[in-house]
Amino acid sequence: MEQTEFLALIDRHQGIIHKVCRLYRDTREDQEDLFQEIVYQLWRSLPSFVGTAKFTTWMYRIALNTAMATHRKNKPQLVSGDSLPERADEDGDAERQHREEKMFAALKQLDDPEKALIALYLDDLSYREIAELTGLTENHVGVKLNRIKTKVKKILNIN
Amino acid sequence: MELDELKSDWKNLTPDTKTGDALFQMIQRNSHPVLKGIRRQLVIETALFTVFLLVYYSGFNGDQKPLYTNVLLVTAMLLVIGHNILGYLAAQNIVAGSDLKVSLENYLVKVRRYAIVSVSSRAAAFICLILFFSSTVTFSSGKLLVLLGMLLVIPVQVFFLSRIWKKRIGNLKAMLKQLVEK
Repeated sequence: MEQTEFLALIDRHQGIIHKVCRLYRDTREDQEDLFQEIVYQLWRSLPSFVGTAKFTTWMYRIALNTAMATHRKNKPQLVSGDSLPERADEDGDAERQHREEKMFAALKQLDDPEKALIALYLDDLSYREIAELTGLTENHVGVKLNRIKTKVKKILNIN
Repeated sequence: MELDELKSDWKNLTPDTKTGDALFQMIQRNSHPVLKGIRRQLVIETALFTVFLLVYYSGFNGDQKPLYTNVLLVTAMLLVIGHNILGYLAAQNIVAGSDLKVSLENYLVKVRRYAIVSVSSRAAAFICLILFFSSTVTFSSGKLLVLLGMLLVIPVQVFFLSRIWKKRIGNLKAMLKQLVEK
């Protein structure tokens, strides 16, 4: 695959990287650093993409791998009332912003492997695809996902 | 909020889109934040060591010291530079496996190896430096105490460095355990 084709695909599917960054890092600075690291690792790992899996599945694997292996530089910062609505102001959609914040607040209470599994589930990957991507068996994925879904429901209801 | 709503929100998440130019910059080695930092450290340390090696022979009486101490001094410098190069290479290759589990296992092995190299090379470099500077010293009890104090720095340095690596390795092991446990 040529560089231009690769960049076009990353451009089209960059939402995956954004989701992984927001899920695994707390500060904007850390999220930006992780975004760059993931794009770099995707480029370096491109020879390993043989086309048997979907490009987006492969992207998810490299992105999750990078997020989990690299360590966080900054400790989570408390977000002040002034800076929270920043994105909402840009988008003019406070309700959506609130839902996003609530969703990430819930998902961030999971441990790192749980975050990976729920992200893949939420993006509608099949159990077989999740199993191939993670290296777990389909049955194992099913058991873990059931547990994670119960956990997430509980967190959402508490909040 | 129910799981279906969560799924819908997840899929409809609107990212702060990066431009094609920004993405192009991100695949360049020169703009990688971690690699840039290691490279800067590598250049500065290598330059300082090179200057030091050029002047130590006359400046620190290298010509009057035994050959083995000169070899040790150069070895100390090379160990530190070698350690930085290994770090640079390791930071480039994070993903190494056909799936998440295998890749994280391989990465753990790599981090363990690098931790051993990191701790031992720093300690060895320090020992080499002490041996070089103390090789022609006639020791009085005061000087012996100073030497003892300097030697005590080594286990302290090893302790703190090991603690940092142990924490990092522990986190990776815990994450792998969480991934595979039923």
